[in-house]
Amino acid sequence: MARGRSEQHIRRLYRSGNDKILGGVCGGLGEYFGLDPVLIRLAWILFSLVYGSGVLAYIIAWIIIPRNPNHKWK
Amino acid sequence: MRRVFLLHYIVNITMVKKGRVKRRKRAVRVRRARARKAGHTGIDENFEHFIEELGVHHKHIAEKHHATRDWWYGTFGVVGPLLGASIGMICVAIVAFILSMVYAVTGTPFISLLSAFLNINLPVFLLVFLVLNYLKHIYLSHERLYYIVKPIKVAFGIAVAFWLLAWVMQFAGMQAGSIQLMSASLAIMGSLTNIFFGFLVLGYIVALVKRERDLYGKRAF
Repeated sequence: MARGRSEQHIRRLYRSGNDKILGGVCGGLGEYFGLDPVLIRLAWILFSLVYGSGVLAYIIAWIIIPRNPNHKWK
Repeated sequence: MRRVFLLHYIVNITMVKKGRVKRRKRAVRVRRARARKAGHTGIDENFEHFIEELGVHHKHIAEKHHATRDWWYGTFGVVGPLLGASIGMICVAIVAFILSMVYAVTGTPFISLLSAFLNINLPVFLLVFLVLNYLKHIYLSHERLYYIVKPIKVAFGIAVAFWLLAWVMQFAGMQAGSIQLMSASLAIMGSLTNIFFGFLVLGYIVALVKRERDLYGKRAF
């Protein structure tokens, strides 16, 4: 019972279905940290300029982070 | 009597074990269902979602590409490939200019060589773009020629890509003083015809299979 309660209190990181361009990773991060996703996208572009590491990180995040079950997914 | 008892014992043990396995499997199923309900999906499910979403994006991009292509050829007709080739050549000239600017800042001989190569070969690039665009125009306007012309276009494109790669390797070899790179570049240049014909044959095999599938549907395989 107590375990169930503690599980409910954990804030989960999800990919956003409402604010997405590709996989909704930046949108999800924005929702999680309470930031504008545009800022996260800009940071991601800068990060991608470093030997394309941002692209790889995005793909990994796309696979690892689950979809937000409360959002619509086409 | 002993044998019967032993048999009963073995059967009982097996039943108990089966029951345990069943209970365990059921518990896993329930746990997974609960996790899914709460939005916690496993990596396998996430990967399925990833592939599914990639498919959606790919479909969307392909649709947009086809719409643009249809608009382009519908609007400009026979002049379309010429216009496309000219734009392509301008893009190459812009890239060459940017590279020359980069060279002015960094002073790297490799970049200077690449820029000079692009500048000198601008007419060649125009010719390549013209051939590629007109071949595409032919197979788009004559459906019957699709399976004959498309492999030629693909093989030609790949041969040109290898030609470019060979030159880049040559410049890199010159910059680094690597004889291996330069000899590999020469080997690629020497086998460009083989590369073209190899990919042409491969393209015709793929076209043949695709044609069969398009004509008779997937049931033929």
